[in-house]
Amino acid sequence: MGERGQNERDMVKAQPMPETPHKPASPALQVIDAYKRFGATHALSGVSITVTAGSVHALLGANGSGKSTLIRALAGFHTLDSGKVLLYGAEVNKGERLRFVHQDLALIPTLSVADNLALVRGYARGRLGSINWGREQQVAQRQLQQVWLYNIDPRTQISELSPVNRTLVAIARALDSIEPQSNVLVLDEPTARLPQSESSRLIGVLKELRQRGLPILYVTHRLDELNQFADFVTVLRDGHVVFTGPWSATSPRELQRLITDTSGQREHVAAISPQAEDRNRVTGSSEGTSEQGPPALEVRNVSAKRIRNVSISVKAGELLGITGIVGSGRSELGRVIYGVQAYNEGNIWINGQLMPRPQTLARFSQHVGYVAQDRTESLLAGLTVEDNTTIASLGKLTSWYGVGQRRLRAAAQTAIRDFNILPPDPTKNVNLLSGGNQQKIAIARWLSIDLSLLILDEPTQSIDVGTKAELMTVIALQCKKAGLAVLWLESDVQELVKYADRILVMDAGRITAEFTNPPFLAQDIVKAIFNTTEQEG
Amino acid sequence: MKWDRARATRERTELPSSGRWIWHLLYRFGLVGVFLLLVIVFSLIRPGSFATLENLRVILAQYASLSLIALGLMLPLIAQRFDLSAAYMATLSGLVSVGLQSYAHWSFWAAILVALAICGCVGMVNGVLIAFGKLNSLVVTLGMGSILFGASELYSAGTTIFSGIQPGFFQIGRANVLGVQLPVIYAGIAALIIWYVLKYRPAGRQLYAIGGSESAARLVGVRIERLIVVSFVCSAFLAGAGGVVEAARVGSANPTDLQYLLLPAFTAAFLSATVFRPGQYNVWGTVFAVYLVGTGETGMFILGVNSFYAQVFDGFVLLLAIGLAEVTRRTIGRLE
Repeated sequence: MGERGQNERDMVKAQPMPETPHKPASPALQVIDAYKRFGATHALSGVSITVTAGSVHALLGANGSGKSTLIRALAGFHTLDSGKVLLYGAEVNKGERLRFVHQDLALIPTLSVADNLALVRGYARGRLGSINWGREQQVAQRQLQQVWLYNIDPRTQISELSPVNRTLVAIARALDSIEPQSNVLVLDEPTARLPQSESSRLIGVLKELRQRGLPILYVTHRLDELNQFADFVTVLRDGHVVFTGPWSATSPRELQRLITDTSGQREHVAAISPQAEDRNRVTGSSEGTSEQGPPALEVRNVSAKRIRNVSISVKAGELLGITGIVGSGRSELGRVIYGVQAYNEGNIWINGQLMPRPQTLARFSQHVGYVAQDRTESLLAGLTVEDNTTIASLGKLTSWYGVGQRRLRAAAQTAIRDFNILPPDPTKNVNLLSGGNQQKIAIARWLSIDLSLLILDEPTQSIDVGTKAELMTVIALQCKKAGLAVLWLESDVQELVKYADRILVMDAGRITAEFTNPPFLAQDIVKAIFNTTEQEG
Repeated sequence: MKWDRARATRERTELPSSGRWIWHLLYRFGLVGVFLLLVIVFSLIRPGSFATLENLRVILAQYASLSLIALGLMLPLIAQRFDLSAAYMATLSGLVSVGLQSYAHWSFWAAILVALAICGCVGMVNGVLIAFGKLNSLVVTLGMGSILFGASELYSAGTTIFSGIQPGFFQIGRANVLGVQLPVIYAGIAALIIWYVLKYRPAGRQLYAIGGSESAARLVGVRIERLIVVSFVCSAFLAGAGGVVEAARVGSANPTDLQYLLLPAFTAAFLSATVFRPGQYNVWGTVFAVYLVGTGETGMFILGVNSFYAQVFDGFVLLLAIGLAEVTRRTIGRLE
């Protein structure tokens, strides 16, 4: 594996894909009547999907709908209880012809980009079959160009790359020597970690691939992306196919309804519409409760590795959103405020108390909560739902005899109920939950304790529409009810305008724009983001 | 390009400017600095006995077997597996190579071959249990180590074997080639081969991949189980070679002397990840660390210090190196 013997010792080219004439649609990938059960859970019940050549087929569904199970079955991690998978008419064995880009990318973080690409493609060999690193560099660079990554040195270690670039490397890896006639590309939430500016880059690449006849199965939560992009769509719900057909036969509204319309599990979530009047209904008066006393967060002239002279403040009960393109320094700001990243200049006050500097002690004791961009930083892998939801509130749940098991269980059940965590089993290993539910847990644990400030870094990535609304509603309510101040770092401007009280735009480490009067227009914000970049030239 | 945030990535791979340069130097070569410091200190205190060519040759030859053992167990370590049986493997191998000559009057070539063959088998058993049986490497190799230790005691009846050894065998351990003693050459060849494979063969890269992320490595088709088995076979083999070389060098073998090499061997392997290629176990770092430890121990010996202080020294060097590596790493992270 990983060695292409047929290439001579000289070349392993990153083969650009051959052009193909436009052919009549023929089924490239067919899933026929797939069934899969895990114990009592029916993950897939009679799922059938057909992906035709030269088309982009979107696969939609809420968390727990069976999407991930289907993808994992295609990748060979699960065996279907029954049903068939056909690739261009033939049954599939552990396919090399199915190319995957998984949600977690599956890159080796301690190795370089070149190594990661070569592990799949086969190393460029020279004399005596030893690796020719010079040629390897070139080949890797050519591969990277296919996904428009022109300036990444292949010797860079993966752990040093931003999530954006890591995703693109993973895609470049999957595209190696791809033949549109006999391969299918499967992408599982590739844009989940990408802010919208970068995802259009990715979509451009994929459109080019489609044009050459490559069939693409594309799992996503972002309905807005699909407008420019999808030919067919299939919606899964509770393991069943509830819709499959051409994109033109449906609409985003309709799809949203299909995805979230469940058999009674989410009745308590009102259909939140983004109209301004409804917004006020959810969040209380647009004034917000004006607080006497110091702001929950005050940042003055702070500079750090990617932040230049930033000053912001957040009042109690205020939901402040910060957006900008990737690399603008948002995440760094969040980490600096929380105390897990050092800063060299400036001052930070929390609830009027000046934070000593330099200090890399998480500000948990000051009643500040933090949800990281990378889910693996928030979750206690291998532990149960109960452990994960109560970890922050152990202090509250402890008595003289130690941690009360019953109180722990009750707290977990409350969190499960409030956030609609599925499956609703507190003893379930958190690794087994879907990404969206894991995210809910990462947030739920903070909302069960008494916080004055909560920092959220891209909280709604890889979460479906319905859950996004649930989560942000709960958070917005907490702001108004409990006076929680929230610092919300978000790249999805559409979401921001729905819930934020105030919005800041960051670029290259500076605050470049501020919007203070809701309701906001997404276009204005987007313009502000792009305007600054254009000036930069 | 406006969207060229990858610029940031590229910058990281170029040399940093001015003051940071010092920290980067410290980060990659800090251990070398410690080594030079030791050499200077000992040379100043005992110029007559320490700072001599003869002493250099002695140190080189004396720690050649430790180099072999350390390089061996570095291989499973790259894949996040531990071979705790290495020192006992060296012990048994040395005993067998000598014992077959002494008890059974075999030619030394045949004795060495059998000894190494046993190592291969032991490594295979370790590897299969750990890779295919999915058992914890610490537990498996600990158990195997005990078995090897017991076997050593039994085979030698608890004594030192030194009679009936053929002169050819001594030659293997003591002869010179162009002024360089053979054990050093063996270690050098082993180091070169391992370095080559780890850098220039896909198998070596795949070993690092397993260590970096086993799940990701599996997803890209790395034959994890096979590579782990191979790494344990190599580890046992190299440990055995170390035992044979040591027996040839000193002219005898016993069941207890070499067992103390386990800790220094791991120390050297861990230290390798603090120098030259920080964050990754590497060949030259391991060799260098071995001789760092060797220099320190020899220096103290020459000073007449109680030999148990050698253990203290080993631990001290390890802490120092790890601390230095961390401090420089964090400082670099702060400055960038």
